[in-house]
Amino acid sequence: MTDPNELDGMTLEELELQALAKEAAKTPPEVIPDAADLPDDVRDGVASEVA
Amino acid sequence: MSVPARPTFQKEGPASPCTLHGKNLSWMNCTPLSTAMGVDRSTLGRVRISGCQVRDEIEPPDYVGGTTLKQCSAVAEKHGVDVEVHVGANVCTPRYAAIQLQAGRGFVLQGNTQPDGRGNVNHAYWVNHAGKGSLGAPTSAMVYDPWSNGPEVWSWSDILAFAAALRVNGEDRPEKLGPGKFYCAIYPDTEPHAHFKHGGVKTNPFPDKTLGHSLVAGKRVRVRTGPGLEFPPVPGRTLKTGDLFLVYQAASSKKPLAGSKVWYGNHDGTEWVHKSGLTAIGGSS
Repeated sequence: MTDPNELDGMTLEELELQALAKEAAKTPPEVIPDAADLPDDVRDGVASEVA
Repeated sequence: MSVPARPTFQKEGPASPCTLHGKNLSWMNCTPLSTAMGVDRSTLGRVRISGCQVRDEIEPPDYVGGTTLKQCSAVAEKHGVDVEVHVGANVCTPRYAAIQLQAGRGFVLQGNTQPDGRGNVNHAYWVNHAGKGSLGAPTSAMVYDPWSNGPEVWSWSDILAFAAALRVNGEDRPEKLGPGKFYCAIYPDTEPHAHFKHGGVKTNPFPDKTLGHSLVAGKRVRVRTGPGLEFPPVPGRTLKTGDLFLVYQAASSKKPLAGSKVWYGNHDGTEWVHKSGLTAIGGSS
C-alpha cells in the first residue's frame, strides 16, 4: 500500500522544506572575510582502483 | 520514483576510459566526470556527455594531471548549463550550498579524501540532493562519487570533513581549506520536475496537492496508467476520499467521463485520476 504521505519519493515534509529553501536560496552568499587569499585554481588529484 | 532528478552515474578509472593526446587520464577526471553528471541532471538527461568529453572540451586544452572547477564549469556553460562557481575569494559557506541543495540544485564539491580513509587526494564529486534535516543543515545527502561504485548516501558531517580537508595549495602542501567553506560549482534548480506523458501539461500550482474524492460513499477512486478508461488500472492502487494525490500534469482523454475529459497525472505520468475523483485542485497548499 502506498503511503499517502509519501509520493514520488518525496514526503510532504520534504516538499515543504524545499519550498522554504527556495525562498532562502534567494539570499546571496555571504562574503567570507578570511577567503581573500585563497587560490581559484585548486586541482583534483589522481585517484586509484576502488577496493 | 525519481524525484529529485538524478543523473546517470559515471565511474572513474577503466569504466570511463579516457586517453587524449596519448595520455591516459581515466584516473585524473573526477571533476570532469562530476561535471558531466551535473550537466545530465541539470538538463534532465537531455544532454548526456562523458567525463572524457568534458576533459577534451576544456579551453585552453589541458591534458596534464587533474582539473579545476572553473575549467570544467566553463564546459558545462558551453552546453547551455549555467553554473555558479564558488572558489578562491568567492568561496561559499556550507550552509549556503546546503540551502541551494534543499531548494532543488545540485553541486560539484571539491575536497580531499584523507578523512574517509582513501589517503591524501584532492578530489571532487557530484552532490545530487539533500536528505532529511532542517533548513541549511541536512543530515545527509546523495553523493555521486566517480571514485566509488555508485551513488551513496553520505552523512552531512562526512561531506563537511571532505570539503574542509581540501589541500588548497596542492596535496604536497599542508594547508587545508578548513571548516566553514565550500569549493563548489552549483548547478541550476531542476525541482520540482515532471516527466510528461500522454500529452500532459504542467499543472498550476506545480505540483498540485489534490485529494481523492469518491462520488459514491465508501468506494475508492481508481488510479489508471493513462488518462482515459481505455488505460488499465494501476494494480493495487486506489484513493479513498481524503487521500493525498500529488499531481504534476493534466491531459485530456478521448471521451468525456462525467462531463469532463480532464485527467491528472503524477510526477512520472504512471498514475492518472479523472477530475471527478479529486478535490482541492488548484488549491493553496
